[in-house]
Amino acid sequence: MTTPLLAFQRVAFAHPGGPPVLRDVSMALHAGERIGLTGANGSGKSTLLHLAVGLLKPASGELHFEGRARRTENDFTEVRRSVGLLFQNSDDQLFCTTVEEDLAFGPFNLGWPRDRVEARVHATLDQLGIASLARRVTYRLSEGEKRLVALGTLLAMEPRVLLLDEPTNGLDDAAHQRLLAILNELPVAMLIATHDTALLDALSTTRLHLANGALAAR
Amino acid sequence: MALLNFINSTSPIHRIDPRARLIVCALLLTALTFTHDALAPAATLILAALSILAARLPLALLARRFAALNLFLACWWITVPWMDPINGVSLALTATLKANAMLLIVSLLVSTIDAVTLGHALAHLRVPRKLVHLLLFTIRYAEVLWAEQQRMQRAMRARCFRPRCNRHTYRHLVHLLGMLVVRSMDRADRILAAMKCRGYRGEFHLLHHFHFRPVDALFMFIGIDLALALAVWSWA
Repeated sequence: MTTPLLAFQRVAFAHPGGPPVLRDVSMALHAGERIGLTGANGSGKSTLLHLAVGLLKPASGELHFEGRARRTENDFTEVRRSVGLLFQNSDDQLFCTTVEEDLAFGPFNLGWPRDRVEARVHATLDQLGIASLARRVTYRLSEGEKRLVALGTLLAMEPRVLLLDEPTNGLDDAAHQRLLAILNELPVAMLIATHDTALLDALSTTRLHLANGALAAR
Repeated sequence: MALLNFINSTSPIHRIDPRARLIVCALLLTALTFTHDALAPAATLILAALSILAARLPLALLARRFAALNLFLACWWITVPWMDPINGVSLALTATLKANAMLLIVSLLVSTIDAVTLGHALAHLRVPRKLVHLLLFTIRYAEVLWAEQQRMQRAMRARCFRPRCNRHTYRHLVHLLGMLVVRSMDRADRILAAMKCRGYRGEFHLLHHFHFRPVDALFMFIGIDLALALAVWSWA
């Protein structure tokens, strides 16, 4: 049995002063796996993804990345180098003014030299087929273009795990197909939280359902 | 957006290094503040107006800016001559010429830089990074906030809300404003989370660098000379 990339061990979580969102969540994501995560609105899918990269801290239980328990902010800084989280709303994710600057933000934070960053930005734009958007201002993009650019900002950092929060939300058919084709080509492990069963039919290797704060196989 | 109205042109002015334009603009404005007769600002005004024509800026938009400024200056003309019957008129005249000349210079040299480039040029001129990032974030999210406000206002109108001068109106406008603040704070939290996810540790890196060419040096030379001439004129 290989060590999973990402693992939840009996994780519980509640927002301050609120009822518990997650009661007892255990799961493991191995290299090459694409796990689909379904569940009703407000069942805690986004919370689970945010816990995975340490944006929220569990009330009890442990998070493991590459076999080691991760607890402090410093631990998670390291996790975030390899785990990319795609936010539900792309406007939250794209905070730089132009597309190429936004793609360069992560790699610069990884401490890469300028020429490597530039090469990586252009390679990512080509990979996604959006090289023509490089100099565009992010808030002037269409919703579909924004989603691709947001995905690009993650891929530019060469992640090993992608956490996708409603990746197809608000996309038209053409953008949906394009995104699906791109995701299908990526060799990284994925955890996909969505209501879009068509997407999971095409993409996921395993499915989990989140209800009453716990996971069940589907 | 008003910020971006003057940038869609390829005149000689638009091609000059933005850093050179910012420096020359600052020097000219400083020199202008020290002049105390009407002649120097008048000369600058004419020179700047000619350059504006050469830069082919959209004159209709420019006219609106000047209308706003001169409406404000009209208040001067109404009050100042009464307060100082001897120098009042010449004082008001100097102020009017100065203000118009300054607005022309800023329109010509700064408004022609697009907001993103302006942020980067300021960063390269060693303006504190925090201020530059504040500017860039404002540019990035002004439109999102505006859209959010519009969306909420449409939702209110869809339920027959019509602003009137009564308690009901004020109460709901305050609610709108409050919701905007709450949503903005939530959004700020989400953006910070997104930044942390990509390894943000308090530092922004600039992707683009500017290239200073001989023509930029020539432009700076002329600009500095003009500023010096203004300074000498007012001192003499």
